[in-house]
Amino acid sequence: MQRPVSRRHLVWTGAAVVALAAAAPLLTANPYAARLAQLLFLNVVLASAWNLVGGFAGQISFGNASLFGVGAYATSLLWLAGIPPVLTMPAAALAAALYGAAWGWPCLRLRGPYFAIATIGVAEATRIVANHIEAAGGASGLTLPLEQDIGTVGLYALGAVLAVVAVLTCDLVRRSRLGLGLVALREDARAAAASGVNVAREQVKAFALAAALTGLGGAYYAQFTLYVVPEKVFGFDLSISLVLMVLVGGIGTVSGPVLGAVIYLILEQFVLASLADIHLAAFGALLIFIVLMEPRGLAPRLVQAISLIRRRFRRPEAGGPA
Amino acid sequence: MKSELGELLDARGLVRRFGGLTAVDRVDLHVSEGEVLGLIGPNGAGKTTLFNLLAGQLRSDEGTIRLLERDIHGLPPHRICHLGLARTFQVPRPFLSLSVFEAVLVGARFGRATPSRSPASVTRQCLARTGLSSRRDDPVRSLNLAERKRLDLARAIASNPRVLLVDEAAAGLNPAEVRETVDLLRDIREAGVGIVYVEHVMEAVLDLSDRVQVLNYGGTIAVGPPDEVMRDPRVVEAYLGRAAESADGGGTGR
Ligand SMILES: Nc1ncnc2c1ncn2[C@@H]1O[C@H](COP(=O)(O)OP(=O)(O)OP(=O)(O)O)[C@@H](O)[C@H]1O
Ligand SMILES: [Mg+2]
Repeated sequence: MQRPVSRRHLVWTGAAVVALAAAAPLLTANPYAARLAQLLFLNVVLASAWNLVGGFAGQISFGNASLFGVGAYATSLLWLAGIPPVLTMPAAALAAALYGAAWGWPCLRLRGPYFAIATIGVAEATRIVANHIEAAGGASGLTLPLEQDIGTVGLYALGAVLAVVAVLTCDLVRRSRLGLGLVALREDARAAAASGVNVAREQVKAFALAAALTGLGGAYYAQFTLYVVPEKVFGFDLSISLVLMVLVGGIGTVSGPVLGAVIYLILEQFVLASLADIHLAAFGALLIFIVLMEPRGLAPRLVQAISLIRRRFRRPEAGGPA
Repeated sequence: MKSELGELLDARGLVRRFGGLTAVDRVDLHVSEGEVLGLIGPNGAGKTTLFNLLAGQLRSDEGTIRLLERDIHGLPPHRICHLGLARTFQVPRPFLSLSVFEAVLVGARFGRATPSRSPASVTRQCLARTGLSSRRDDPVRSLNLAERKRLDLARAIASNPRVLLVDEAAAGLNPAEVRETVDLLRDIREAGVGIVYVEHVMEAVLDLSDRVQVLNYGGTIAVGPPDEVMRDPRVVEAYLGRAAESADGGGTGR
């Protein structure tokens, strides 16, 4: 039987931690490298969280920025009230989870395009309201105290931990009772319900969990940008970028969001440098290309390639006939 | 007269309309422990709709449904499953991207718990009973129709039902496969499960059923022991009438 935490888990987690620690000097060497690492960790967290519901339950959300923003604002407001930012993170996760459960509960009764459209509505409404809450800085947002941040190395470590936690969560959910129910209801909601799956409840559980992770992402973002503003943290761009990352990387897989986050970051940096703000368009074009060529995303292909290489590595004579 | 003590499911006066069409018309239905109730009738008679009412996929416009003395009218399907009623689907609704093992595990993990047995061991047993053990790691999408029908049954019995609604488990199967299915259903009944069995394959349903109930245009036209019911003039009329109609009308018969 599959145990929830296997040796394989420990090995991969260990390898990831070692690799991240080894890369630390390189990725904190200058401000640009440090920022790249922060953005990468952030993308991995957000894309993995999105995948819990979008990938496993097949419910495509274009509104995850609403959860991200709640996390970012929760941390910012508590920080400005004098609480050290890292200690505000549980509150950010909780606030986002509650907000996600509150609007996920009604919206997740819808499926397919109806759910997708509802999420856009909720997120846009959230953004507009946030622009008018003067106590939270209104449209001009909040600037955070530079002198209290946890430093480049601290941010690197925090981001790495969050990313590892998000990927592990994805993997644990996939092997859990919850994950089985999500995939079952994605494949056939009626047959799942007839088999005892409480379709509404399982989806809300997953969504609240995804929201908590997304809120943690927002809290992290606030700590490295030191500036939160509704147009950014509640922005539609952010929501869309998550969908793109996961679709490009491989929806419903654990490694897909990670791969998608890496590709997105590279593309964003590359295109940003030359063509300013059209990276979403460039990424959209890539997405269309990938959906046509490789509908399941790039991760399954990569996994295939890796196992092929490993097999050749183990049994060199097997390469003979080729 | 059979004692009422073993009664598992008792539905009375069920009505379901779709616009002007009354698909289920004042139907009473009951099944007891270890009993097989055959439910037959021409195409469009309302059999599947009746299942949808009993399992909670559709709400009835009128009538009451009691499962183990409990009113289940209006409960959502997953609650009805937890209370001990499982169903299969006329067109199997498999979880295509799962493995065969995982698809059955859905029933075992989310259905009515089997006391002192782990979901994995329940799943293994259900796969063995339905002859799917050797396919346990294959993806569901690789199964053929007969295997998908058996998988649907395995998933349903994994949720440890007291009452099982079976919708055309033998349709489209070859004679050997039909016999296997009949044996499997008999085996399930031996364990005390009450079965309502909808089937067009007459040998199967007559062979297995303790009682047969015949629907026509949504209403019950006969109910009783199989041989008696099959001699009932209204039943003969319902089947022959339809057969004659479709013979005359070519492809336009219902
Ligand atoms: N969702 C629905 N909306 C409208 N009409 C429906 C719906 N479901 C069933 N019907 C109609 O109700 C009647 C009964 O259909 P049902 O599927 O219950 O018949 P059945 O006895 O299972 O037939 P078969 O033996 O062909 O499976 C049919 O006339 C059908 O067209
Ligand atoms: Mg039918």
